[in-house]
Amino acid sequence: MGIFDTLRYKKDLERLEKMARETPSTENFLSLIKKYISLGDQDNALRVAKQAIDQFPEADEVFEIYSKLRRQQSQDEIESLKRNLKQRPTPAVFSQLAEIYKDLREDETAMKYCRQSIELFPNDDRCYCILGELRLRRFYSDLLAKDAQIAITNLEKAYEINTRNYRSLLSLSKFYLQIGMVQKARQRLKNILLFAPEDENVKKLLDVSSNVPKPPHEDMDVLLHQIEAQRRLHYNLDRENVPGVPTPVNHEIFQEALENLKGAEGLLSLLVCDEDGNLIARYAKENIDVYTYYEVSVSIYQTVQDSSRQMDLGRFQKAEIEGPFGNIHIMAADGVIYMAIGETLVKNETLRKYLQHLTKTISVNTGKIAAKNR
Amino acid sequence: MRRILQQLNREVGVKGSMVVSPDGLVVMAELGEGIDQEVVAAMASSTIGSTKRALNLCGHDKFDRLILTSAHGRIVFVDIELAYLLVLTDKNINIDFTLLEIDGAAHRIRNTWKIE
Repeated sequence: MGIFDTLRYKKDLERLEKMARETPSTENFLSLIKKYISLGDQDNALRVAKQAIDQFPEADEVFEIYSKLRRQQSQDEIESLKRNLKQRPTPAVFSQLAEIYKDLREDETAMKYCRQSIELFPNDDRCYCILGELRLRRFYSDLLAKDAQIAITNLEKAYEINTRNYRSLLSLSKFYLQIGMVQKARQRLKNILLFAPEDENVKKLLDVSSNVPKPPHEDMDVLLHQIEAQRRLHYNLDRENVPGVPTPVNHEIFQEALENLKGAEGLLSLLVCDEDGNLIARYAKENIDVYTYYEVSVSIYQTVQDSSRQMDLGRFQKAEIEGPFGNIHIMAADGVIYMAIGETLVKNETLRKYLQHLTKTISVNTGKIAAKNR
Repeated sequence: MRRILQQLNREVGVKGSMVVSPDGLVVMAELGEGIDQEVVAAMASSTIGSTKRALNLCGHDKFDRLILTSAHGRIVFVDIELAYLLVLTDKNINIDFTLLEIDGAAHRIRNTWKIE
């Protein structure tokens, strides 16, 4: 590479770095990461990808590129750690492996190493902490009470073993704050100040804690069940805390979307319900007893939702049942349950398309109405 | 039957499989590490029973296949006449490919029973 090329690349990089710093967006981060990759600078590509994933944890494209880079970087490390584990298992090796898999979002493998470590070294705090963080990540994504309860048990255990476990204490403080247990959060933050009195992060959180609206009681189970039902944290540290107003269900939007699918081939009925099974909108082919199908579908929805919880699989997303009666597809999205009942000969793929079409139409129409209201 | 389940478990994303009667009696299980057989059997029994009861409302008493997808995994139930084949899989797999293998396994188990 000549001196001019080097200068040009340097300038390009500076420009992209500046863009990512000043106007952080997934696009800007991705451009910078790709630039580093094209220059063969894997270390910087990974550094930027880590920053990007911290800021945009839900962006699939960012995670994909981060996970690829991280996997490349950690391949040798994983192999070496696995060899060490065979020769001389220690809590440090277990936790390093669990940490890598946690980072790659291979939660089950990470949990496996944590469980193995806890079985062999029950008095080491590290894997309790990682296990707690893994569960907490699931809780923040699905907002299911069970995940939070397991997370807290593990994080509190890590703190019980090691009262200077900074990560556990910080995770606990943030969690308690976000579910509305302000006193408990302040207590855990003060626990950190005992050994890290100058910690800026903790001081900031203590300030924030005085702004968190206090619920009438600090019963964890009650608060968690409220959060699960409302699908919203009591206080969100990551986003602007606009007082949550539940989106009103607009029956017309749903009914209108159903009308678009009237007469679709092989479709017997389409139903839209809320999470409690209350009917919002319906469509049924002539001579079809819509209420029977409604009862059948809601009952199956409740069953599969219970099964999902029983198996600890997180929030229910969809179910497809086929048999001599035809096909029933049930899908959950944003607190709304969509159900499609098809004839025996209709293909699963066709029913999936109908449901996709339905949810897409609803989202477009909702967007239009929101824009109109603005 | 164990061999069929073990072979199925080697497919990408399959975490474990089990043959279970509608009332939750485990005929054969090859579940992965950390999966509690009793929990799976109890869940299977309640899912199969409740789904059949729901279908009864529209005059049917059986289903051929049920695929349940949740945020952190999938469960597939396939009717194999005397019992159900239950397969636990990762969520992020191409389910259509895995279904071919699951149907194949279900078919082989049915045949084994017929021969016996």
